[in-house]
Amino acid sequence: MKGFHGTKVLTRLHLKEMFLTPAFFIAAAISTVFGYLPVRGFVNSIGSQGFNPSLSPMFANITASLESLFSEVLVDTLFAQGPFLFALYCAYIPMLLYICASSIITYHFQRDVGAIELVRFGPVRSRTYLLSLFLKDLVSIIVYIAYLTITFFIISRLNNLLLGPAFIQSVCVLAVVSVLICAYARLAASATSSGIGSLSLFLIVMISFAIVHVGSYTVIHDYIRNVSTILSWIVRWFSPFYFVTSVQTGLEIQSFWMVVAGILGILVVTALVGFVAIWTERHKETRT
Amino acid sequence: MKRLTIILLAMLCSFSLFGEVPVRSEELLYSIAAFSGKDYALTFAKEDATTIYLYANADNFLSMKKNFIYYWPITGLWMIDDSVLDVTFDGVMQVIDSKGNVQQFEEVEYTFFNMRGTYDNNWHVKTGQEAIDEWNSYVQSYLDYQEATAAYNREYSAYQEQTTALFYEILAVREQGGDTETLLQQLSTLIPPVEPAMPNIYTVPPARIQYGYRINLGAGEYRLRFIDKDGRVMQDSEKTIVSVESRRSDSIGYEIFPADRWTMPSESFAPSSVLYVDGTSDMYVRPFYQDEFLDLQYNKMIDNQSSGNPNLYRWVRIQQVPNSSVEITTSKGVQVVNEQPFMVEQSKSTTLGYSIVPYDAQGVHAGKSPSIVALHIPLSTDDKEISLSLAGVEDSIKGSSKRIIRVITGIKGELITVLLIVIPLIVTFIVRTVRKRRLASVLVEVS
Repeated sequence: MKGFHGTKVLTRLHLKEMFLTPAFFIAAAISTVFGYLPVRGFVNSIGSQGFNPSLSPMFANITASLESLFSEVLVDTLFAQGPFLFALYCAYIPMLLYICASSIITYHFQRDVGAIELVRFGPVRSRTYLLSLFLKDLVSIIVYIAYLTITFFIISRLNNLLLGPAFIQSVCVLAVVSVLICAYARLAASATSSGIGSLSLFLIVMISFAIVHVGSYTVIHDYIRNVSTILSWIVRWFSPFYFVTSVQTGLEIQSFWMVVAGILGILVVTALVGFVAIWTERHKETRT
Repeated sequence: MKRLTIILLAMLCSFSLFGEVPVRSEELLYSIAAFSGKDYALTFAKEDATTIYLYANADNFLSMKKNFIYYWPITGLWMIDDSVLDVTFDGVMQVIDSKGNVQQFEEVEYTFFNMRGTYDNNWHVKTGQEAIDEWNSYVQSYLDYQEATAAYNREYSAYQEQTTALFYEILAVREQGGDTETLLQQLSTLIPPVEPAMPNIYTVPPARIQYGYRINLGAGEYRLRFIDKDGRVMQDSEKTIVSVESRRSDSIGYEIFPADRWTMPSESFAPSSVLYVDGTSDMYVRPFYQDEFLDLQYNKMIDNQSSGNPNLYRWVRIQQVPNSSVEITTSKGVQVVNEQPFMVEQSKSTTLGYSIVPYDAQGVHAGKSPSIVALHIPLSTDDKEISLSLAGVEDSIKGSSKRIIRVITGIKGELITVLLIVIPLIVTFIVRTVRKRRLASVLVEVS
């Protein structure tokens, strides 16, 4: 049982494990609540002159923080078609982190109890195991995105809100960029020998990418922005956030090539990160 | 000892009587009159500013100066103090493009002004003799106005004197029981002089004649330096010029005036954005042309000290669309609404305080200017969705002018939403129950 068949069987097994435990469902419900709160706040912020954040204390704080950090332009863009784009990020980010983190913990737990070793001496290689975990993450994310989209669609219909083309585009972009984030989770899992270490590494890498990317967008201080812009120029070729922005800008200004370049970038970096993760795993395999 | 303490206390108190005097420093500055797409912004680039941002393919004016500058903590900005030191340098400005081509600019006299039109954007720039003529013509028109006002005042005084004299004469004749008919006729034939109108051809009058270097560059990055009279590059005069071009132009934005808060308009910039309103009052909209610039570049263009986002683009309102009309699509059909003047009238009885009524130039509003010229979009809470787009324009402009108005009347269907959110919990509960039962049956079979 090698290659494709092994991956398929193991992926199914991982998915079964995941869906049989309540953790995934609880995380999905909590993340959706995170997404629903901004929608509720947005509806309460609508007056005769349109969306007025000062009508809702929660939104007043959120928009004021975003404006001071990034500028008014970002807030205008974020809420141009309604609350769902912001709500999507609010729900998706915690869920993605949960899926990646749980996958890293599962990997280390199964390695610690000798399950991976057992499988490796049996019909499949450890890289097949790694790939199956990666696919399990992707399927879980797609399932959650589908559930979130349906939920938001029903909420939008109930409240006469519009999901908007930007939301649909973002759903697709986030689904694509999840591939790269899951690959980083796999690399983090393979790179260290302990669960906590891998989890910390994954979070540090993601937070670093986020800080460098977000820093180049901030207007607080020229120095911070300039440093971030230089750092961002260096690390952007590996950053999922850079590719997300690139694809979204391409969609906004209807630049086909920018979109294609962004998606290709994600796939190429995913392949690269995946290759490094597999190489690390094989290296460990050889040592053991 | 007591005396010394008193003296020390007095000295300490005296310090608090004096405010902190800002520290001035002498700096070589580029004084900039930068075109911003809609008007001229006056700013300056300090010695430590490395880059000057200018609007591409438009006339911008730079000059090289030496002034005192000081930091003003209240606004957080550096200010120029030209009361003591105000030196303008003679020489030439050189702009070098990325290929090394050098363009040389000579100093010219210039002025800029905005002419009155139906809408707000009629900027003109004049240089050399034309600028001097324009300035002289503006000054002359004001002198003429002052002269006409003086003549009017004299004529009006004479008119008032004549009227008063006749009035007293009529009173005197009446007291004596005489016939006042002729005097009354005389009074009615007296015509008051007409007050001269203020010169109103300019909305922004020509700026006083200034000397500067007219810089008009295509989009791109250039190097700038100032060559003094001796032909040497002036120290600290080298800067980078970023000639800024819009990423997208001639898009349509809307200024939105809700009828119940017409002094608090909001703006809709993003094409295909949705306007969510509560439908409690009608809406008045004014479409405008807008161009899209990088936030940081545009902010720096109008104020070199300001900051902005270097990665985000923003829409900048350029000017109102003249004589606009919009197509409004509702569930009832399509309707074309034309731009109309409206008058805001104070209401006597309603709690609203005012009402917006169509402007009646010949009737009740004769002699007054309309409060607002806009498109009236009637709204009610029964409307669910209204879409609007500019009528009678090119397809590309029409596309960017599309907006959807959605009427939101509070949060709805919360119970269904809660059910949707708990679906994952219900699923996991079902899965666990089924598994438990299955496991129990297996255990029974085994036992």
